[in-house]
Amino acid sequence: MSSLAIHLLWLLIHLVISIFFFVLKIANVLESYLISSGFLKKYESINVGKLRYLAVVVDSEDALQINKVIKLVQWLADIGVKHVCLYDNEGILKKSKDIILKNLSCVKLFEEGDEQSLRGKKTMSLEFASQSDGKEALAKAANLLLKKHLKLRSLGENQEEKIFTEAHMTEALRAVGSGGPEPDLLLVYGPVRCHLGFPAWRLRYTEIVHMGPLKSLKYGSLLKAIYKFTLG
Amino acid sequence: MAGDSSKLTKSLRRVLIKVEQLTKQNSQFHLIFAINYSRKSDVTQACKSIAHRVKDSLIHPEDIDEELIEKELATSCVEFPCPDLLIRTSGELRLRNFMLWQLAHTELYFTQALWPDFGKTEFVKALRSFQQRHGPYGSPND
Repeated sequence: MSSLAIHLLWLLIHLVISIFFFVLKIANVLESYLISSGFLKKYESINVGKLRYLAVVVDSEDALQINKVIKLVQWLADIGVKHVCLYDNEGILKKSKDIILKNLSCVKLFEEGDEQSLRGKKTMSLEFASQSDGKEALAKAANLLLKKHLKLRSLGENQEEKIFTEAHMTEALRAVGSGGPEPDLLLVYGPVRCHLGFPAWRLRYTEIVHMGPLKSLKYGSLLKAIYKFTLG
Repeated sequence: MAGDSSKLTKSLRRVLIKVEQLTKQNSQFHLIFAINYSRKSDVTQACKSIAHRVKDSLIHPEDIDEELIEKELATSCVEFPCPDLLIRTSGELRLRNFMLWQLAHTELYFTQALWPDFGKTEFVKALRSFQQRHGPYGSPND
């Protein structure tokens, strides 16, 4: 009898929490509509200069919706974000790079030094990343450092403490083609709230916000996420 | 314990060593305290350990891959080094240099509750949020 009562209590707690999340979801949809329609005036003036680098992680299944991705990037360009990194685990967005760039105005492929050169211009730089820029790249960078260490050892110098440092690891990542700035904000589009292997070496102080699946992409939610970041 | 203990006070280091010794034989629950821990230091330290093993001819440079680096990290002592769920308290949306390697597919749950106030209710909400997730990493009914 007591186990039945405990089971019923557990079901009741589940029900209350489910209702709470459902109501929250409805409120978010309504708020997103009000933001998109311009009814909430505070979202009209965003200090987007605070957002130097934005990363967007897309679940690999969602990444097949290239039209949605193009829409998202165009919205970001219209809001005034200057530098964006698009990531999906399997590299679908990387493979679709040409199609995406072709369908966007005022967007160019990311190059080192863009942070300075694009200042004051309307152009946005776009970087593409995938799993190969994460753990795989770290393994390659480790290999690079090790080869350097072994070379110096063979010359009679023991520079272990000076070679295996965080700064050298960052340089080695750049040398293997997986460098890149640390994003200020990371938006995750997908059913699961995780960064799906985004190059974690670059995520030290990045704010991470889960936006839901890409199919429910909304301009209002995007604007709200960026606005909240700029308030911090 | 994960992290650089050399910067902790002697008394705290003694306490941590004592706790590790006293609980060494326990088997029900594995608890890791990450104190003075930096994700980047963890990976850099793993690379140093690998360099030692190459120097001692235990492995070849070509053997270095993701799996080898994972085995040298601070969490390599546990059966499941990659958490399913990470709970971040105090309203912060940043990971603050925590567990670089292990969190690729970890569900991230951010809560406004400050750490001392994080109790059973908050914990149930976190578990419920984790249960609701769908995806290739496990559906609610798995």
